[in-house]
Amino acid sequence: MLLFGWPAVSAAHTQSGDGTGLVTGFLHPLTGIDHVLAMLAVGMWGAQLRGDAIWLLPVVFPLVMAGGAVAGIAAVPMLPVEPGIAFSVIALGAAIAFDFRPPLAGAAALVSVFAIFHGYAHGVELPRRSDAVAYCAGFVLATGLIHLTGIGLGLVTRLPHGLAVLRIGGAVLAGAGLVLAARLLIA
Amino acid sequence: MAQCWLAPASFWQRDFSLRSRARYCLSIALLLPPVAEAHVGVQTYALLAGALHPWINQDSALLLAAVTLWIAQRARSSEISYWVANAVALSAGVGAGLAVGVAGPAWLSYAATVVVALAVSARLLPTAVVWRALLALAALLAGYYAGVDAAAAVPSVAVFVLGVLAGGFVFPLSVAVLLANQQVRLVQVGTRVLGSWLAAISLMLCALRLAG
Repeated sequence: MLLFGWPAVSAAHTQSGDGTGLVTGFLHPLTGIDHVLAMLAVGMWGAQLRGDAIWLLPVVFPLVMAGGAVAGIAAVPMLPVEPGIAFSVIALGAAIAFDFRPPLAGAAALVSVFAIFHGYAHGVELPRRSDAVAYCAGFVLATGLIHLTGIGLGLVTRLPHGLAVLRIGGAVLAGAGLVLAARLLIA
Repeated sequence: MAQCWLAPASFWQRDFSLRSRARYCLSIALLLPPVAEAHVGVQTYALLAGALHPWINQDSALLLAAVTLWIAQRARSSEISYWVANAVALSAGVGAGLAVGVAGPAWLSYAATVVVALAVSARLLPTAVVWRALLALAALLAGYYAGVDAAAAVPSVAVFVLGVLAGGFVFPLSVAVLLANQQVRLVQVGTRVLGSWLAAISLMLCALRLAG
């Protein structure tokens, strides 16, 4: 219900021409609920998979995201981005909910595909008049911090019944992704 | 054991506690301000400008940060040869920049940063020769950009170059040695995560520069 009530403008969070650098870049991923949920899910999934996945997924995501941003800056033709981002929330949430455990390379590849959509959206919305260095540093930093938060939430698995709690959290994320997708269809 | 005239021999012994060392350093520092404040002048500004130069220019700051992390992943404080090689490469770069005086394309530095930072995030450790050659190339590039600026901006080029060496070499050396001596897994993972962030930022900036 809360997600349905979320202002539509915040999902778009375009900032064309008004960027002022680090703060704007830092706030950019935080003001898009779809980005926040997907990146939280990446951190949570990494913590659920344990081992090297706990840090490898959050390392792969910003790298590939930057590649997607480059494609966005260069205006490379792309599949519809917003549905892709909503689908990433659904898929990552479902992976957590069903305790899906692919090989590490498979998990990294899956996260990479979704990172391209997120990066592309960032690249397209990058304000041309802002301080590019500060802006990019800001949004990479924010992305990393959201991952870190997701990892922190994912560490609940170390508590009794923690895995069940995390899987419920994954289901909630997948549900939120469905709501986001439904909103896109309605709009 | 290395010794210094500022400190008593016991300062370097293991049984000289951390607190005692800190107290000693503080008392030495209290003696320094009158000396430090006395020597402000053109030479000081040139030295300071040189030391800050690699870090206040975004392209070279990112490059040096990536280089620092890469050194930290492999370096042992006992290996001195690559520090010397890097200092020589940085100096050669500054010299080339002074001589040529033509600024290189802005994207080049970011592209070099992407390569080095990707190596950090992948924990890519090539053979010693290749590794040192790549680091030397990065130092050459950072030095070149500093050298181009030095020709136009400072009154005392020689002192400025000394400053560049101090800022672009001594500081990364200190940080790298500090990190290299931390065998904690969290530090190693953190280094790789920072590398991925640097690579991501530099990749986007490289694309922006190329896109004009």
